[in-house]
Amino acid sequence: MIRSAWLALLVVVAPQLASSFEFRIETALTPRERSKADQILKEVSQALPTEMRKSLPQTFKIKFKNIPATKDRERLGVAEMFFNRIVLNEKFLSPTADSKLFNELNFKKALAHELAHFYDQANVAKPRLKPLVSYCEGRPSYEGQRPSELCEALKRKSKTISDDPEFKALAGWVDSASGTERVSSFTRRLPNPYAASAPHETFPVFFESYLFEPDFACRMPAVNAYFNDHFGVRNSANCDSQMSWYLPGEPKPYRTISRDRIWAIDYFWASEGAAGESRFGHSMLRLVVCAPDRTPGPDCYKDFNDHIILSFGASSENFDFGTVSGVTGKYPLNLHASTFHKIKRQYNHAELRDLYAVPLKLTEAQKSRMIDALYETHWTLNGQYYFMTRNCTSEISRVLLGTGLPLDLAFDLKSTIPSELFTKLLSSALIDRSVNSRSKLQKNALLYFSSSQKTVDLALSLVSMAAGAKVPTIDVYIKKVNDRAFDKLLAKTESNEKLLYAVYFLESIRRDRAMAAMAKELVEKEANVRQTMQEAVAVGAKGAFDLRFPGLFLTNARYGVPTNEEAYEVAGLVTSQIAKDKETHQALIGSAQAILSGVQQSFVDSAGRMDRVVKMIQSKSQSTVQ
Amino acid sequence: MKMKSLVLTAATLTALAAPQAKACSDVDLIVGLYMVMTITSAPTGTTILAAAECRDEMLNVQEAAVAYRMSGEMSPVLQSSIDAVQKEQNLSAETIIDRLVNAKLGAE
Repeated sequence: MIRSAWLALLVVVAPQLASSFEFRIETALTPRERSKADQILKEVSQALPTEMRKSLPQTFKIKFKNIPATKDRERLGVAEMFFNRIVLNEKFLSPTADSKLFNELNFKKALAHELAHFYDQANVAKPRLKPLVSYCEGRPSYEGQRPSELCEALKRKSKTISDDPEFKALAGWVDSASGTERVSSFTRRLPNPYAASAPHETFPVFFESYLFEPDFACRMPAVNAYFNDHFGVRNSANCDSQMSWYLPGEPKPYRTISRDRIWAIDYFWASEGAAGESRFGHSMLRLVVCAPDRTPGPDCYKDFNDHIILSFGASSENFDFGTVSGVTGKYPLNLHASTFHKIKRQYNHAELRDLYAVPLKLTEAQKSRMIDALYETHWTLNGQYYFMTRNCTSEISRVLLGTGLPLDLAFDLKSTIPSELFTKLLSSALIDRSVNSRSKLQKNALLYFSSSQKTVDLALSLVSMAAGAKVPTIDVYIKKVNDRAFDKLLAKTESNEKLLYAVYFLESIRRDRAMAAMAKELVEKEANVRQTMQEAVAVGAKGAFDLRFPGLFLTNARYGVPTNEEAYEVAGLVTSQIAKDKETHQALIGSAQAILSGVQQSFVDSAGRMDRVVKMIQSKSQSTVQ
Repeated sequence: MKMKSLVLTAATLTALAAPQAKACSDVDLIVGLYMVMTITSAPTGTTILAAAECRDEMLNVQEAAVAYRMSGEMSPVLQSSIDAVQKEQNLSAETIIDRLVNAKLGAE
């Protein structure tokens, strides 16, 4: 499908402003060079947003000269702040220069880039920041034990955009103990890798594309929206609404949805787990995607099959997550997408953790920006995970900060601890009062998903009632309910259907535990089995690691989010890589599967308990159907 | 519209028709194998081996169906799957729940 984009910057320049904004060329030029320079200067001048022009010096000196290239790249221009001078590479005027680099578009972009530096340096106060700046000026540096992070950031602010916390968050810069760092080391999909060279180069690089590349609005829609807001520009971009999310491990690993089918975004919190690393829970986001046949609305919350869960997480090549490596940034950080059911299964069932969905009260513009930012992050974030500082929660905080929320609210929500962000959100203006507590959420079956422990407890209570004795845990059930006790229970299920299903559920747990133990024992005792399984796991882990991040399959032919064609190509590459892996390791995978199947087949329930429960259920079902 | 709905309910319908059908990639299958190796007994222990076959939707719905049979309370997750199946097949909710539970039993 051909993607099209049309960007119209409705710049209205008052005549007096136009006449007061002047470029003075200091270099002696031939008439032909002069004509070309005048034309470019005029076009750039006219393209600048009005709000920007108001804040720039009235006169710029323009100089053309030979600017030596660095080891890595050609240098196209230099901003000499003190002299209000922009130096441009004279090759832009030379008919013999490399036409690919020194063409008219790059001429305009180079000038826009240097003008952006001037605008940035002017530290123009955004109207929305003024009340906060005033507030912070009258505030002590320290509030209690901690400095007010927002006030500190505003006091340090010395640029118009480059150190605007909202832009920094959106552009992927974060403050750390060692300075400002880029979260992602992936530069392939930047308009120019130079954007990643320093925080103050990101804005000029993005701005030159914003101004002169119609596709920018579709390739980097979240940044485009930020610029539109900042400059008060109305922008009409006809971008394709299709989004392709990569869902590793699913039968169809790419899910393409229309962005306008995303009804809401929830903060999705997995409650505290037993393991050390999960004692504060896990932060995720849920895209409440509507089913194809549903008109977008609140009922989309029922379309669980369509929801997509997003999670900033670390990956390991061998499943071996070490604490030291986790703390020191040895694991890659990406934004993973999963199905709702996969996440529910993992947390509710395998880890016995509750899941809470907290709907974010966003304006349409905020929601749109957040969707775009998440999508771009999904395809372009490949950074380093730090357990304490750059993790699932810090990244969601960063996304919120870049969404255009009131800055004081966004800063209040900054956190690196999942349970803390959950608590902060519940007491924030971003959450509706009807769902602003755990207890309120727990009453809403579309927003709260209890762990399987609840089902286990229900089954245990039914068994306890029937047995006339307390069976408090599954371990007690397995230990105490011997064959004789089981016979008695089963007899009672004749007249108690609820008990029948309770026994079925508990017996299935007993069986699965026994089978898992049998598999483990086999692995431990049999060296050849162990070797096969370990090799299979190593292959699986490496395969999953290599396929964790879809951006690795993109080229740098374009920047930002992929076009539909690109996403389609990546889907093809991933599919063929999976097939190749499968072919390469066919024998190994087959052996591992055979071991597992062998365990299943050789497992014999000594008392045939499950068979008996199953037959009773089947006979009841048949009698119901008849 | 029909095709989209079919895709939507594919997992559930597949499970109804063929309980042991695999629905995931080999990579995930091996991740499942890894779980079996490393977890002697999950907290509940249920369906670890089945989980290795990646039928997340099916397993979630089946558990919800069993919970429904025990409590009489229909969870939205179960209701959602029933609604999806009913768009394709003229079956009562109780029949679908029976089949869901029996699909698992058939895999014994």
